[in-house]
Amino acid sequence: METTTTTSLPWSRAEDLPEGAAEPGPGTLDPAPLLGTWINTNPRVRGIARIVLAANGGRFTVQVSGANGDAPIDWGEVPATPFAHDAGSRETMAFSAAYDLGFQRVELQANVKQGVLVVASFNEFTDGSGRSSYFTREFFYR
Amino acid sequence: MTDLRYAREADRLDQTPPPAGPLDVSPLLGTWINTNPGSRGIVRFVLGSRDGVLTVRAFGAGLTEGTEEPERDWGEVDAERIYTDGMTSGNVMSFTARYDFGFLESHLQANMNLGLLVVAGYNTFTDGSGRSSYFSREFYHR
Repeated sequence: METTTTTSLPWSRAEDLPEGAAEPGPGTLDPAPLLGTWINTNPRVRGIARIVLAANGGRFTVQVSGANGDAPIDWGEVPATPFAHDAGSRETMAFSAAYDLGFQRVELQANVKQGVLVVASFNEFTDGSGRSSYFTREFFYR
Repeated sequence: MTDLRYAREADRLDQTPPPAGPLDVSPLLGTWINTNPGSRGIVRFVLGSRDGVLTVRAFGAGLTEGTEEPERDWGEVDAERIYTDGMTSGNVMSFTARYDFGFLESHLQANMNLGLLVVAGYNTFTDGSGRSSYFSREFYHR
């Protein structure tokens, strides 16, 4: 792996430097490609049943519904942080968000791949119940 | 046990108690090499243990300035958290770690799957360069 460092920009790995053209101009990431209601691909889901991604007044938000039979549990709406495909792109294809449910903290890390939203959950119980922190990955469609 | 709070069915405990004692990080330990020899991201990880704490050392793609080293040593950090494959499991298979380079914050989330280490990076520039926050996912073998 060889990288020519003709840029004055600092970098930690080659992909921190936008390829080809100059660095992107000023602007923010547009979450539009991710917006909508995403449904778990597994009809027998016991984890996250549904995710609603929205943009309201410049705020990018996520709202999760946890599976619970016929009565899904609304986790509420929290801010989400958008991520692009690379350092030179303005197209959002991933996000992160965090929930503090009082007895449990959940970090969500998600990206779109071939039209599917892939969501990794990092789950930590804070209620002293002894339940292990655990990782899951689930898949969603629009 | 069934009185424990939950936000999705998967978090309900039935008869299986959670594991007792500290979690064993040894399944993750070793040197992990990127499956893509042309990677522009993170070329390898060294995962170690210090007093039971998982340590992470990453190497970024690209020549170290003024040397012939084909990679950049990011240094060693403690894993932020470790995760199992279920809330009643003691099988550690995932971790998160965070690097702050001064100009860039990289939040790494990793999990083992089918013998591979899958590492997602959520990268946010803090240097005002206009570079987009970006997502990456790479795969590693031992």
